[in-house]
Amino acid sequence: MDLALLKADISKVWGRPTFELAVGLVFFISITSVQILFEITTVSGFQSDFNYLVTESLVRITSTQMLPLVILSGILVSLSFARDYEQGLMQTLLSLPVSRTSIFAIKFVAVVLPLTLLSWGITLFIMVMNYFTAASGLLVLQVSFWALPVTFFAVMFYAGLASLIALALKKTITSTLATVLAGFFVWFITTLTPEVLGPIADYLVFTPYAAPLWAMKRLFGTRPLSEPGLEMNLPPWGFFILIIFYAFVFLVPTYIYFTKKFEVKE
Amino acid sequence: MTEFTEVLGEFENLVKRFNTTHALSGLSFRIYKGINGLIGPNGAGKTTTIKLSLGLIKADAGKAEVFGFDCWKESLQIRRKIGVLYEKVAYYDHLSGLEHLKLIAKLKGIPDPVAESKKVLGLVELEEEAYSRKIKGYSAGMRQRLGLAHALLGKPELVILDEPSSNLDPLGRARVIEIVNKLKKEEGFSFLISSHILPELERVCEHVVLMHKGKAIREGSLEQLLNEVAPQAFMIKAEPAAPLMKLLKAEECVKDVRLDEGYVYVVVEDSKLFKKRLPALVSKAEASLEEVKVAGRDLESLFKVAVLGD
Repeated sequence: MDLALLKADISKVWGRPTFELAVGLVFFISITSVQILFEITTVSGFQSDFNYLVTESLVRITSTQMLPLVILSGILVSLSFARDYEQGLMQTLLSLPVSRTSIFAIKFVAVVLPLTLLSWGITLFIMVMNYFTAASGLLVLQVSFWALPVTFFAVMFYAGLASLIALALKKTITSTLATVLAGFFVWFITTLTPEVLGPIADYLVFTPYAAPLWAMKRLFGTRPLSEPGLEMNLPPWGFFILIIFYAFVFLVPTYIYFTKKFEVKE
Repeated sequence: MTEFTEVLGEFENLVKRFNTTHALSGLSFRIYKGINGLIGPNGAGKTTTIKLSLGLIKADAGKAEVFGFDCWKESLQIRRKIGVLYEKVAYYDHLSGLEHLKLIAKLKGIPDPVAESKKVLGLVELEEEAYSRKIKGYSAGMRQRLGLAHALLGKPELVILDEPSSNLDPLGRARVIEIVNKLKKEEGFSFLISSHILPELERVCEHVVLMHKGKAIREGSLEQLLNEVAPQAFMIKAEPAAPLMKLLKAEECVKDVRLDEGYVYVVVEDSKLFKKRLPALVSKAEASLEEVKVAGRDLESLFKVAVLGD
């Protein structure tokens, strides 16, 4: 992958006002999910309650960020692939002495990496501002680290879906709308109740939207809000394998299509 | 007559369809060292051919090779040796012209990107104050010049120019032609220039391919093709034209008749016989003959003859 080309693509995708809007949106959403320790607790139980609060806060921040990240990754990938195609930049890039694999990787990384780092950076900032003390510093940093891979794989999933839609439709507005709708749909099904879904509601924990959050919850041992379900049958590493699978499920076919079949017809 | 010996690219029976449109229908021609012209009206398949030669699209059938490499499977090797300017120039608009060229020079592995970038910017005469200006602030003509500089970067073995003067004023067009001529003579560049503005190609092209409806209808040296056309086409101004055209169409020695800019444009198979028959036909049509002339010895006439005779 050529770093100079990656730098140029990142500065194009994240130029004004995209960067400022993304930072504002993710920060505002994240700050609304900060937890405050308000329960009366015993001195002996303080540390465990505090630890629980830190992990629970991280899960909540990540969970709250998920929907804006889905939307942002969909819009940015659509712009990066479909708009470049429409404007002729894709044609210019594919005529350079650079392999299609590199161009695909550059366009993908230019969205996924900064978006993940932005989300993680804001998460880390909020966590440090709220819970960092001399005694809890290491804990806060250790816990916050786990938001990085979880967010990364989740963003990869939606970016893979968005790139497939963008390359198939090749129209900026159509593919952006289709991607946003697909993202909303993946989120929406996780909001359906067992009364609506019946017995299959238990399996929602394994969907691309819920699995990254459950990977964190299971890792930290967060208590389920309701009766434990199928999520307790899968160990934390099982959820991580699942989200890694989701990360590549659209990415691999899109990559194969782009490198072997994709044509610049217009 | 110019001899073409060194073949840079070879296309045989290329077929390409976009849904129901036949973009290429059995296109065959060669690209030689020197200045090659790809001539044809809009929709003839010129841009499709260029995209195909760079591996941007895949032919449905036929053989396409440039520098001995398959245009689809080995396009990266081809792109290393080619510089291209598309009609629709699109770059990273947030970069300056110089930054853009430095980026491309790095990708091409040019040892001194800054020096090479400034050299090609000088060649295309882009004003120095524009070096540091963002591309999004460029006029259409400046973008075109930058595109030409982009194509020339690193002295590629073949420079492809797709409608290079489409965004330029007449002076700009003339300058592009001068640059192409100069680079060919002084630096030994080879070009494949696609255009439908024929007079500009006439001034530089050595080898010409005429395209129409996705096929090469004529191919050869410019001199050879122009010699073919001269005695074959006539332009007649007569009043009324319609009855004369009807009679001309019925003549065996006439291949095609068309009304073009007030003239009856006639393509003939046997010019001597046509000249003998014409007065009788004018008289029979009860038309008054105002002007008869042999169509010019230029690419435009050549193109009309070829297209009408196709």
